[in-house]
Amino acid sequence: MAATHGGANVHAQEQVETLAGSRSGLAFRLEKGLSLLIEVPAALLVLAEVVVLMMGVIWRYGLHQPLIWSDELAGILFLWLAMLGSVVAFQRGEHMRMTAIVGGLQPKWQAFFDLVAIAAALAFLALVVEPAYEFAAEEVWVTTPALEIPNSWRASALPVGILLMMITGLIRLFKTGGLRHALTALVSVAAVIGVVALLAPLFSGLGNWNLLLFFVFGVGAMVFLGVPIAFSFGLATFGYIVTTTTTPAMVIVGRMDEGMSHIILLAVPLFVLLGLLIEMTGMARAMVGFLANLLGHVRGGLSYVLIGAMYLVSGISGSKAADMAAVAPALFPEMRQRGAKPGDLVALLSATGAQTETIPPSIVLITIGSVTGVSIAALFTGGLLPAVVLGIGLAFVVWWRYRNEDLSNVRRASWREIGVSFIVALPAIALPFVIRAAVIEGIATATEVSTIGIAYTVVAGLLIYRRFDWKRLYPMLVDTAALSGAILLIIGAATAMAWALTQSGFSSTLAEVMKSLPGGTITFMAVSIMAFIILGSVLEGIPAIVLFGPLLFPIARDVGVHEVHYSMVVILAMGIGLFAPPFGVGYYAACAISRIKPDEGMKPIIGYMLAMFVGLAVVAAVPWISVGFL
Amino acid sequence: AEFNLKYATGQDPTHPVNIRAQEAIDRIREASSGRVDIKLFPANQLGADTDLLAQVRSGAIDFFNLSSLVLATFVPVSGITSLGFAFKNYDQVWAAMDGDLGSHIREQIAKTPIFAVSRIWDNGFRQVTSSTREIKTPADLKGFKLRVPPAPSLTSLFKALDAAPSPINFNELYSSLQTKVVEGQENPLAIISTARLYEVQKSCSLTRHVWDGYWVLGNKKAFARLPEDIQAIISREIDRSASDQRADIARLSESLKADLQSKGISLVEVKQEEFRAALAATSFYSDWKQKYGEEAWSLLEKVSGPLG
Ligand code: NA
Ligand code: NA
Repeated sequence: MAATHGGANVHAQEQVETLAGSRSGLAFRLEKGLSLLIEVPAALLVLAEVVVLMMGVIWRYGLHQPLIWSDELAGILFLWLAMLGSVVAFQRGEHMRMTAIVGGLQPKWQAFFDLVAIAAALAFLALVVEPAYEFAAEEVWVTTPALEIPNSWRASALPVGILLMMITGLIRLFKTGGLRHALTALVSVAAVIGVVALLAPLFSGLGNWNLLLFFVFGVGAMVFLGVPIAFSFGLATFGYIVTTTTTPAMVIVGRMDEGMSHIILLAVPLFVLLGLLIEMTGMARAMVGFLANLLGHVRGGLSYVLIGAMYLVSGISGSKAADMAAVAPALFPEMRQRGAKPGDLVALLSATGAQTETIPPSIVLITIGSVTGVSIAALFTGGLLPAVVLGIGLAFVVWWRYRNEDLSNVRRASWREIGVSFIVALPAIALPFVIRAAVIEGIATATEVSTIGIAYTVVAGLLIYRRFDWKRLYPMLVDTAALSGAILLIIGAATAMAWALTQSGFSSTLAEVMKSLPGGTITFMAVSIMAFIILGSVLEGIPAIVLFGPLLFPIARDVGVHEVHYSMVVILAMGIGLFAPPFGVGYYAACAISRIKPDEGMKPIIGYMLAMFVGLAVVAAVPWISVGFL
Repeated sequence: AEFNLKYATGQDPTHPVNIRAQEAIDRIREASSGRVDIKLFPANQLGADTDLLAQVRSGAIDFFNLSSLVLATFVPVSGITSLGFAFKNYDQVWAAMDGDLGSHIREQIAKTPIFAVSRIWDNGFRQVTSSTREIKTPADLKGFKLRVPPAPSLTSLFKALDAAPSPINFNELYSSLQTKVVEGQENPLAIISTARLYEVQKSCSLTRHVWDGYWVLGNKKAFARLPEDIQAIISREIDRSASDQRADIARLSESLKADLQSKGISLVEVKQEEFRAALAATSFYSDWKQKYGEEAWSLLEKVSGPLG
């Protein structure tokens, strides 16, 4: 059970579980009660975030009396939302996993690894629950600056969430596996952990080879055995920190806290909710209907729309996951109904995520500017064209893939039909422009702007499209929380992993090696590209830049590469790594947002990644693309 | 090496904090004949300030450079150094911070799992920048939308002066200034320069409204585990870098003015006493006096003269 997709699947699964559950009425009632206990607050938290951020905008822009506490309150609620969302996702089996290999095994073994996935997650949770409690208890002594309350109001979301996940996980394990199989899975996982613990004395002599051992082999093995991504990262990080350093494990919890609740990530749940609303109010249908009339007779037409939409949206939000959340839920249901393959959709979404990394305003660009001293204004200008070059590469692959698409039964829409569908779609098409205007006019920050979109959609749904199914609102809020939890837990675990890598100090060694390579500019560029693809994949974007920017930019200067040019190459390389399976966090975010299994996109993404690699080579070889407009 | 330690900062790699920290680290390595190896992690590589504070408390990192504004969330009295318009100049700042007020704060820090390794380092006086009207008098601040960090000493200061302070996340600051979500912001010149905020601002008023320093914090237990001679070397060299770093900031605050002007920022001189008088007319000083208590307040007034 990876990400559930399609209602039928969920239903079948529920029936199976109900049957199993009826065997032990207590477990069944316990789970039912527990899910209510978690889902209701999770849904309310999503709603509260919308209200708090919107109040922030209204008081600042409308009343000229900015609220001091709105950001802080939103941040506190956000961590709770992320943790409770993770619990809901865990309960539903929606934490991203890679089942490409496990899925090919005999059903018996497949069932076994499904249980191992839960047991491994339980192991991580059991290992960090005590440090999490300690972390929250220590935060009693810290007072939050705006609300002036103890910071444990925020930090206790971690131990509470972890504990709830453990309970949920145990129930799920025994319900799906039955006593014997559940115990087998638990014992197997415990045995592996025991072996690692026994070998611990050997690791201390290995120095930085441990990084390879834990974060490449360890993570790789767990990911391919179907352990959920977040827990693979978490277990490897815990193992590395506990066996090879003297650092307290509490640091993992602190890093998860910061990684999961970074205020700019708040745009993720809000854009997810916006996407669901757009779909529910019929605005998505109207918009896609118009686009289909316009482009339906073009092979792969809607895929071009996806590329264009990501380019447009990227300029609004600072966060990639939010960009994808703004586009996929609106476009995908309709595209799938028109016969698009889910694997191809998620692959293209992921690819556009990497392609649009250089489009301003982007947190990555701002980070490069401040850690390396390159003009941010110049980076904002320089980033527009490289993204177009990679976009052309993607469009080429789309054209190639769909060149033989059978459109014989597609009738070309008349101009009248196009015109009518345009008018119907107009309020929906206006939405991205409303959002964009709100950002450009300085009404809202990138994080807040999604709430303006939500308000617009609710009003348009109620007054214009007259379609607003109140009964669907609650499940939508719970879905939003679960989805956000699944994405944020991965980001949190990746942040902890990045800490472990960073503190090892391997970055300066790598920079030395790159500096000493012969061959001047061309070698340096080629090695930088390879290095940043790998770094982007294991470290995530921002940590990679903060770590390597200051080390590598001076070298780039020495070999005569323009800094803006180098920035673009580095960001795009990092983007390719970030959105490439099996390690790239961005890829799993794309899968989660589009509710498509990670396995399905594995093959289709290769073509897109190759096209982007070629595009990147062009950007690297032709400095003008990056610096021509400065 | 025999002792491998971690030193984290939140400043960009070229900021004097990191240059001087690295020099101290090099001298420590040399003076200890290679027994101590400290790795420097600038630019929040190991986490944001609030998390780094948790890390130095738990011993995940050994040393951490933290603004007194943020430390105030953990050791409230450390915020007193950032009281609005308290210090008129650097003579007063160092008299207080290297004198009784500094000792008092260091005692309070040492009551927790962490301690201040050296005398305080300099972050500089904070100045207000704007993309709309120039701030010359307290009246110009009325309704002025500016970003402040979410620190009570700053939010209360600008509220008392009738401005509209808005605590936007630093990551979103550049864009927010560009699109005019807020009209201005306030920071020391070194930050205005390294974060390239001048690209999206027009004027900089030399308000010197708040002075801010950096405490180099250490984990008490981890430090106590080191041999005494090593402890002495570390304290001595970090303290020496404190002096060097203060001189850097003093030099920079002059050269950066010319630098910003050459980048098209107009510098606006203001009369500090007008602002102080406007503040004194409110309950600002008496409110803070109550919060910080008689003892700390009298130590401050000993240097600053009577406030409010
Ligand atoms: Na962007
Ligand atoms: Na990754």
